[in-house]
Amino acid sequence: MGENKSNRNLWVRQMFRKRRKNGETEKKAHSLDITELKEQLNKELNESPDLVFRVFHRDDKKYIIIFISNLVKTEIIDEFVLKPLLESKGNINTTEDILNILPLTQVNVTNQLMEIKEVLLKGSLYLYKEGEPFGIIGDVKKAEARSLGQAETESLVYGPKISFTEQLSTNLNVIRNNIVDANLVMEDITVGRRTKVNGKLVYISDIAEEENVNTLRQRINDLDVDHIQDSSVLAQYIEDNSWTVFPQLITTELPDRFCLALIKGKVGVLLDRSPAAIYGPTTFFSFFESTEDVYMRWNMGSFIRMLRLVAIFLSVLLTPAYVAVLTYHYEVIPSPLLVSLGQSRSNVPFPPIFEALLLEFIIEMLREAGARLPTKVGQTMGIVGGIVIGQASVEAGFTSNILIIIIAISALGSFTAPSYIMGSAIRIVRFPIIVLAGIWGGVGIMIGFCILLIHLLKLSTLGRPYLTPIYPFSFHDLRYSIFRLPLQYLGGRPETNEPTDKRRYPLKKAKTIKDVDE
Amino acid sequence: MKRVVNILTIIILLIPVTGCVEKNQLEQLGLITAVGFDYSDKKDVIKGTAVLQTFDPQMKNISNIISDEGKTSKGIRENENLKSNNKLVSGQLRVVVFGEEVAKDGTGRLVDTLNRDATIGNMLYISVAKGTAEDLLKKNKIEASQNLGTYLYQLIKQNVEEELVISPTLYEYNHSFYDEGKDPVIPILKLDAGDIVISGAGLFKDDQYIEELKLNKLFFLKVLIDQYKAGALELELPIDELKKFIKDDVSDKEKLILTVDNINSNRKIKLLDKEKPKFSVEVNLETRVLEISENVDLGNPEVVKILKKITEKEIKKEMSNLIAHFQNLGIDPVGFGNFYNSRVRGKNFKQEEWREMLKTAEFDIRINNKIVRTGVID
Amino acid sequence: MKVNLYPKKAYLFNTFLVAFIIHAAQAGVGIAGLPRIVFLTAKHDAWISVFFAGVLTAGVIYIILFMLNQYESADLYGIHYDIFGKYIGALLSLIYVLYLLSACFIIVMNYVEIVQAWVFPDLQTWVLSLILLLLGVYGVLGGIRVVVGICFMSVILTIWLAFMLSAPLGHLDVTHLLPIWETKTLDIIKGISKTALSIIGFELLLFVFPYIENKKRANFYAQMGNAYTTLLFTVVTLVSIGFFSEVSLTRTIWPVLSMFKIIQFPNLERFEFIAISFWMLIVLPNICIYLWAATKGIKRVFGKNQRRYIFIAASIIWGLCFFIRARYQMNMVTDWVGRISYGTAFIYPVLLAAIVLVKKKLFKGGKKNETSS
Repeated sequence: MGENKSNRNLWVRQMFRKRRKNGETEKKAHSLDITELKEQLNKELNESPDLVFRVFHRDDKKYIIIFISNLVKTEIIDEFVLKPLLESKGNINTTEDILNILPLTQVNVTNQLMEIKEVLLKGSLYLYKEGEPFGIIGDVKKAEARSLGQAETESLVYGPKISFTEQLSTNLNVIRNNIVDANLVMEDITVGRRTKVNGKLVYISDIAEEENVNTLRQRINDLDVDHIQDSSVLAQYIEDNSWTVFPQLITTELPDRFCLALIKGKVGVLLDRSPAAIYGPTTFFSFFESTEDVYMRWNMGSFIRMLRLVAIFLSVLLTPAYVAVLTYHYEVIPSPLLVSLGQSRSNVPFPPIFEALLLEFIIEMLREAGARLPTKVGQTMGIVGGIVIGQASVEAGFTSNILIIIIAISALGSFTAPSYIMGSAIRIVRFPIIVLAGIWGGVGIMIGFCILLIHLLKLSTLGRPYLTPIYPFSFHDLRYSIFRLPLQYLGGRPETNEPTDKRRYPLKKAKTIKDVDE
Repeated sequence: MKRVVNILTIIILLIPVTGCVEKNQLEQLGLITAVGFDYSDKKDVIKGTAVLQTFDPQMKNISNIISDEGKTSKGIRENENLKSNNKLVSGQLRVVVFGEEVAKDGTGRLVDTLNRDATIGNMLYISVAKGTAEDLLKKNKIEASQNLGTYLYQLIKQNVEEELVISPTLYEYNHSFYDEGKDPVIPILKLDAGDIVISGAGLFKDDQYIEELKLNKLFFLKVLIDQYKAGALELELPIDELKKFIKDDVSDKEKLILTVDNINSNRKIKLLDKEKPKFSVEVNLETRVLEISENVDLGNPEVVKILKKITEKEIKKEMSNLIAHFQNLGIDPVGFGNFYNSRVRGKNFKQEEWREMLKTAEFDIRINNKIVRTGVID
Repeated sequence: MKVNLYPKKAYLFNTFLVAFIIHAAQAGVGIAGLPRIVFLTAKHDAWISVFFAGVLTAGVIYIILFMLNQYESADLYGIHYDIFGKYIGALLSLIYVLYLLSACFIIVMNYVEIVQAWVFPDLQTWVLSLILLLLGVYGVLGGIRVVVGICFMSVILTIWLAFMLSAPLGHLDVTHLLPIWETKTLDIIKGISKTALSIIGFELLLFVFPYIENKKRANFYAQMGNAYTTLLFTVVTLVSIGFFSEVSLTRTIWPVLSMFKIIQFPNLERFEFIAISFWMLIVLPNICIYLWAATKGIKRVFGKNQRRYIFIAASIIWGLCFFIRARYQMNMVTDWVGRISYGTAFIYPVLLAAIVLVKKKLFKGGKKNETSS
């Protein structure tokens, strides 16, 4: 069936790949004359006004320091470049002599014009002594960064609170501190032909399966796109199927979640300037796992996981069921419920499907408005939406109050998903099913359900099935995703990730039960 | 090729949107919750009375009752539909009431349509009205907060759960009607000063209503048909044997009234003789004494022993009378025929043959009554 | 055409899934009407017929797997090619493909009929059959992995329907079942043949076999799947006989659905409406796997892209739907396919196995190298 693998899913990805592989930086050394060098760089950087050339003389030799003023810390240049150069005793003859007196850690030697251009844009300076064949690049970057703060989009009641920041080095630092392991590999990656965003491919070499690492690495390397704004965009570029509503890679802003995934054998990607990390391969069910399930006791953890799955199920099916029953299957309502349902529907002028779609739409609007507004106003939005619109629309005979309850429950259900993207996906999925329920009642719901089922079965994440551990069924992995068993049963790692190192601790020892009074 | 397929798929998916199905929006329906059937004055015409549940935002729960005539029950519904501003549907039908005359002539055809219509459930109750069903449904003075259909449903359901009435669901009616060698038993409803009450159980011969069985005799039938799990029974017993234990002066009384409840019962039927046929019926009862009309010391084992003996005797007497009565009528509500059929190989008889055999059948009845408790006081 | 198929490792599925494929393929629309159909001939001993039909099926499954194990990794089409040569083999394969397509057609039509009879009398046949076929096409386009996935999920998600039988179980009238084995033995044997249409599906082993990971263990799991089906069918028949009186059962077209009528929950009544909708999930794997096996066959005979054949086959089946207008026609066609299935699923594989065995005996040694090339 190999030839049947859908090409349609690939074409988007291929559009960005492999088109401009020949456009790699040309080799060209810059001029040895300082005035000409100035002109060359001015031309390359489009006469940028913040391009600074600081020329000075020492021992009758002409020197030049080039940098972009907004990107560097001038104090560092003053203190650690100019000062040692001007004040140092002894002769400076070669570039190596200069290196010996510069108290900078990250330096490099080059004479390539293109390279110089690139590093200047990343916040380095270029120091050149006239007549020498090579000059020095020194990193004097000024980075604007916020300090590590509390997670905003994924909140935990219990457990570590910090989240990733926009700065790669800080994030890497957090991860290194979390996983003190020599086998933690951070491979350099660069994405964006034009903007060259730095990033890291992170995995633990003796746990993560090599094929997963290779797949992810290759997909990133093959990606040919001018600019990547955020890691969530990168995730969309490298996903297996870009048509679906379901995300196939998790983006998280929680370092602890990320590290736990690494320990389980997943492979992660961090990008500079984006506060979220990506990891994979992830299954459908891992979007409903939260690190909190692990931090809490196993019975509570299991309960909460089941609760989420039930909530999602209700969220998808409750409103369609209402529409189907009230439009077609009045027979299934038992007599105690009949009167209250009929009473509340009797003054609504719309058919149930229209009523349901309208209310679902209002809820989505409320959510969107609440998200866009500043926090203080956002709270009032909730009150306005929940109480005023809800109450008033029932009293005005616009909607039935039972539907309000149902819509509220299904909205609540979709918010239980720990992943915001998955929660949104669930809410989107509901709309077509409501429409199907409005057309063919219960049969319509089942049609929607079957489509959803086949679709989920077809999806893959990094080339691995999306619905594990349900299909392909793995009894061993159920305890890691749908249930959360006591720790003595969690001594392994999920088989789905095919970890190289399969054991976390010896199971036999963990399961040993002491005899009474011993 | 691929693009053609894509476009085709989209077009094909759009077509079904136009292929809609008939909608039944709840608030636009007149839900028939109870229906009654009577004969009209005209020949071969049935008069149907339907209790509707409609939804009106202003008025809460009105029982809308419509009746009309027609030759078939579906014809009646169509005629009634002309009188209603709601579309009449029978998916929420809870109770069917047959007028006495209709029931006596046979319910077969009407029940057949109930079975045929997929929208009608089979947990609805079937009952017979004393007089006409129309009077029962229209002339009552019940101002319940519920719809009349739901009210009737609750009335029967509640009594079935209390084990005062044999469950008359459509399923059970079908079961005993279609089974060879078994006849249905259906509750009878009557108007009593504006109230609807269950007056007794209607004995059926095939689909024809034959006779009313009083509720106080129903116990003995129900014990024979299925198990008791709770239930209560009031018995009139001869007082003679107990007289010496009674503390008060009872010389002028002849009867002792005893009420037992929490009855647990099971019955075993055995076929003793295939040819005659002869059955043995063994009924085991476990009862608790709830009320006794005279002041007797129930702590005395001897009293309990005598009580056990006379109740057994009384129950046996009542039961034999009942079965003899059934034999006279040629009906078999207990289902002895069904039982006989399952014990005898290769003898598939028709209902009529069995009725003949039943008349000569013999029954050997044994009752074991175990008085397990005597309440919280002795 | 090659005799043996060697799929990529990624397309092989775990051996235990064979049990789910067998069960999902066997349990379809047939089970809804099975008790009545068998009851009509075998009377209250119908459950014995159903049970023996299951036992018979177990034997045929054993023979099928015995035959398949003579080859390394062949399917029926490969065996046809090996035994009968290029042209006759292709002809036989195409005949079998026709049978598979007609089975698929019957499944679709019977489900449509159930929906029309119970829920939407005015739903156009072509609309629902089109939707079902599109669902099937969507599934089959995902290849064997998705088709097997649908079988697995269908069994997992509908297993609770079996527990719903506990409600009619409470109304069971044991006297209906007694005396056991009262019906003439000949009628019971006739009853076995009536079960055929419901119990077919196991013959799909002939096509999924190359994709099984561990071919030696396949027999065990296939037998497990069949055992579960047999148990389920027998219990369903048993309960139906006990639940309905004789006359009712002969008149009730879909006894299983009628039994669901008595199930009541506090917030839900008339469970049959839920069950009928849910039945789609039982029917879906049937449609998918028959469509897959049929189009695989066309591909094996004519080569080229299976994707195209899937669309063509589905359109043909859909086109046929326009010819069925009434219940009696449907009955006729169902009966007809039931009879054919008797030959194609039960008799033909056994005959073929005998031929394969004879051939292996005759050409011992020399042939081995050729088949494995």
